[in-house]
Amino acid sequence: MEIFNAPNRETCTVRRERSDTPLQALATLNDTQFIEAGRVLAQRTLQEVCATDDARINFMAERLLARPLRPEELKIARSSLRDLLAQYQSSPKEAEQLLAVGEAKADSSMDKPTLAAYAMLANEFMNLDEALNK
Amino acid sequence: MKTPFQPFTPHPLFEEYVRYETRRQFFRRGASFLGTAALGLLAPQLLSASDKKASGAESLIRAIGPHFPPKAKQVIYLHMVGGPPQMDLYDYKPAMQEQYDKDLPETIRMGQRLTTMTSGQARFPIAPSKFKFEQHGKSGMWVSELLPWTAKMVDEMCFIRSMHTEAINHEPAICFMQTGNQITGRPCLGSWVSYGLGSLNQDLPTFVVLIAKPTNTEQIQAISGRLWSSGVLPGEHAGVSFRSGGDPILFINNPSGVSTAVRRQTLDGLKALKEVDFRQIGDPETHTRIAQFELAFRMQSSVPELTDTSREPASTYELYGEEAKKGGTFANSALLARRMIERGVRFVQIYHNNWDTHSNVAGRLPMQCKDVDQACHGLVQDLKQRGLLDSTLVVWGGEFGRTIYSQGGLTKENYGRDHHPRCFTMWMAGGGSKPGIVHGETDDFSYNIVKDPVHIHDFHATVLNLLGLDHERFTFRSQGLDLRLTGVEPAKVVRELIA
Repeated sequence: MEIFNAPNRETCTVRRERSDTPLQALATLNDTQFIEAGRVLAQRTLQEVCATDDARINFMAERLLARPLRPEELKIARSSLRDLLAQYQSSPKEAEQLLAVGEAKADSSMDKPTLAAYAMLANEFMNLDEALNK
Repeated sequence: MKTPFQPFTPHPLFEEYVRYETRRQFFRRGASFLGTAALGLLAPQLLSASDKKASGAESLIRAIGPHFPPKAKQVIYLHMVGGPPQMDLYDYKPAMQEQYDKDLPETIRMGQRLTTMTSGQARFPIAPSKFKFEQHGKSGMWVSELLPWTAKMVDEMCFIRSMHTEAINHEPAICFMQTGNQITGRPCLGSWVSYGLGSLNQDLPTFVVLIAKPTNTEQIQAISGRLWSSGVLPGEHAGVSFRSGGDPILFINNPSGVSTAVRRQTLDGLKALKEVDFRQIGDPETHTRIAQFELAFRMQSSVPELTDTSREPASTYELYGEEAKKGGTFANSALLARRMIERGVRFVQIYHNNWDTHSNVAGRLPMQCKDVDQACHGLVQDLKQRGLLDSTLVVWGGEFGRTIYSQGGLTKENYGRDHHPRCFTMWMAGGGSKPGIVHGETDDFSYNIVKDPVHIHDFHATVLNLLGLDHERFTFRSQGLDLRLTGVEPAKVVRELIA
């Protein structure tokens, strides 16, 4: 919490400082909690939405940003998803490793590379300013 | 049987509203919100064009550039939090031995305001230093027995005995020392330097802060991110604080299953999405965010290498002392500082706490000095040996001095000292500062300055000058003012401190 300027409770703090550092970026990108949350969101997305990739992407966007994506954003997201899927399909072992991060058990019936790709897409969305700053 | 997912289709007006507004923004912007949003809607190109200068591309540490050839390229600032007692360390006052337990004369005090910690005292008895002093080096500088290592290198150091400030308590005083103003919100020295000179290494933060853990912790002051904040300067100039214990940077490594390639892909996507954001709303912070994410990515490879001291030879620890092997100590921080300088970090700041010796000077001061003495010597010698001292300015000092009279009980064995703004001692080494001199003088009581006063603003002007920056021309427009580190009143570069 120190990374996000939580007061150290040694003195009374009327207002927390605002800062913008690479350390915060590392926390929101790599902290187990964020990864796990992204992974579970991805899993739920794949469980509940059977239609198109776009529909799944927007399902995640709804939950993280309270809105669907604009066309230009959707294009970017589709491209990310495509690249991530290719990555994980070529290294399925890494997909397995990712799905073991955190305590929640991954749904073993799902295609691992797909789940991993969506998990990292969720990770991407979760790092948007709009998701982090409500 | 799953029903096909129907995405929520909002009314177009609502969509715009949600797009441009977050709760925080609404409450923060208040009246100006409507204007800004309208401008963003009407002329997004206009916003991005004007902000291009302020925000720019992903690697945002561009330099304004020095105004004239600099002597120093980098800075290591060692801030002794709490205010070290100058008369026990560097400001030798033998005349005080005869004044033991006598009252501080009114002619000396001259109405200096007191803190609430001593204003209730019936008397202000003089407490001469109980430590022995000796002269050292060619300069003949008198140094207390508590600093034997520092004493060895006085001929490489530039002492200033006549520093003075207006602040009398820590928060405003440290703020003053770091930002040039007692009121918070201004950029600190490190941020100004980052803004003015930019980065020497795109893979590391330009400005790093290390908070060392002192051995004695009887009177720790609160220090916080405010002190290394970029204030009104663009956000990427804020100091990045490494942790003093455990991993210097948390989450530096990707989790398992996330390769560098995958991480790169998500960052590319993130950057593209943020750019869309920027085109719509025009918040310059967006580009700071992008830059910080990109820096975070590069730090993933540069920081583990930086903090891996396992390959330092034994000679390093002979120089800095065994304490340098322990993470979080001042000595360890000093070693890391040298490694950072080698790798092009522009400004390294180390905070060492517990110098606020209101009581128990006899017990605490030796421990404070032991924490820093050998390490300071080691750092300066190390930089010298590596050919870095000439271009690296090392600064040492607190935020104010201490009183000659005792706070609380006075005995021959022990005493306390309260805050004292009218004079304190700092030193510099390297980076074009003049070696082997002692600048300024205080009276016999180490209470008033009698020769060559150096105000904090003068000190800042001098530091900026060594870095090739003219403090009067080096400004940032904010709230209708061409803001300067050195404030609005005249401040001078102290030429005598420059080699």
